[in-house]
Amino acid sequence: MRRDARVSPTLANASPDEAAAGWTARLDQGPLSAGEQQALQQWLEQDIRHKGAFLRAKAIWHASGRLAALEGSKTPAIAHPTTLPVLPRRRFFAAAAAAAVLLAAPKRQGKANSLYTTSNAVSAPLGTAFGTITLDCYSRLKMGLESNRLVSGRCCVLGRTGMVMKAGNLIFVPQGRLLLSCTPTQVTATAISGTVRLRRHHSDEWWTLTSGAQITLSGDLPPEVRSLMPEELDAQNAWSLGRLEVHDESMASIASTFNRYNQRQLHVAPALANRRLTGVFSLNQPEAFATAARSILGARLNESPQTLLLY
Amino acid sequence: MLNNTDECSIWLATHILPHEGHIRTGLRRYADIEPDDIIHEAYVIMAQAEWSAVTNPRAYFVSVCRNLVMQHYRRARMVPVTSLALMQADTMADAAPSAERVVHARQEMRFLEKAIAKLPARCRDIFILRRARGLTQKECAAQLSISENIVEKQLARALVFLSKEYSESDREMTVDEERRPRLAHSRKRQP
Repeated sequence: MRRDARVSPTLANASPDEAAAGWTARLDQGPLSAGEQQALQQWLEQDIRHKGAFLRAKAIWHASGRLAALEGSKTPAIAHPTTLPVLPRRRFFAAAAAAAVLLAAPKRQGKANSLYTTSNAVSAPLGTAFGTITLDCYSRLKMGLESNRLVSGRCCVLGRTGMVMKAGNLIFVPQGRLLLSCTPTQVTATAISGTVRLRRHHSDEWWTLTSGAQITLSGDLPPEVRSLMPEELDAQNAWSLGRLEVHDESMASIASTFNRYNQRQLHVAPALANRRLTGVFSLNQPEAFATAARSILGARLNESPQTLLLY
Repeated sequence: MLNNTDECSIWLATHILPHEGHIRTGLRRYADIEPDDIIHEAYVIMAQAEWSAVTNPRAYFVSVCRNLVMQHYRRARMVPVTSLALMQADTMADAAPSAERVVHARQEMRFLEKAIAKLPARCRDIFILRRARGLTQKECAAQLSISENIVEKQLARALVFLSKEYSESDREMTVDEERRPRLAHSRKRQP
């Protein structure tokens, strides 16, 4: 970098890039005075390249915001707020009433604490008084009057004040979209939008996850928190929107994902199993994916009502 | 134009900026063409267009640049023969559909990380406080016990530096050809 780089927007001898950077930094500092506004306008109108340099500098400024994700992985985006407001009891009964009229596709077992299980499909959004819960394939959810528990698998919660989710020994209060996954040894929660408050069972210490933050808890180990980039969030949330996003993934792995979500099974010949693809596909349309893959890989496709074979 | 929103800047940052180095490399092969000028003009054209409807930003960026080069040669009295041949061969950059993210977000992060590491120490500290930790310029000044004016100047300096790094980012930002995934909707004929 040039040591003597003069980047003041007011300097006439600055290059378009230097002046554009100066104005971008100045605008970041605060609103422009009338004089500055006029000077900027004049400079922009002098030459189309000035406008271009200014647009580009602003784009670079935005791109550099990615550094926040990098920083976030070192310093967790987690805060310790004050205690949570107590939920009025009346709202619990409202939740109970709503739970009684669920439009659930998954199988329901029991009454007071309803258990929902999914097999090879994503559930319809399960409505509660405080939001909706969408259950991923091969997952189990227990819905109660005061709270809901993800027993295993994965779910996407769209919650507002009053929504309480449990998984493992954690209690979540989401205000926004929360992605939750639970295995016998680990619980992972990702705040897709809004904020999520959480605490351990028998603990008064509340944490807050902000949008884009992901927390992983394994047993009694300290929580691991990291910030996800928008692309990662999109990819992780894709299933709840009925999409499958793959990035340079093998055909074998893509086929196994499709097969988890669909009755019609996709088989890939060994010769194609290691070929890699990137793209966004509809999760419940393996036929569309098979047709696309056939064209891309120059393969053949054999279709039967129950199976799709790429070879 | 000043009023065009942050959304446009974000779109340019996400879909155009990462391809810039690659497209500049193509532009450098044309005689009598100043890549900076073409790129700057291209940003204006793209910002004024219906950018949100563009499905293949990279191909769009390429075609805008190509048209600007053509315009330049139309206005010029003498057009180098080699440049005409280049235009006809259309080898500036491929305009194939690019549904895949040629530039991976992680790679861009690494690129930024490396670029920031090259900044002078104080400039780097200020930039990290402002852009990575999200402090305001005023807070940065207070934390480092310096004037707000210095913070602003150093941020501008860092931006100029990043601007140059993006101009030369060809190798850093694109996936190696052999590792590049096949396109999900490329039109390859069936055997």
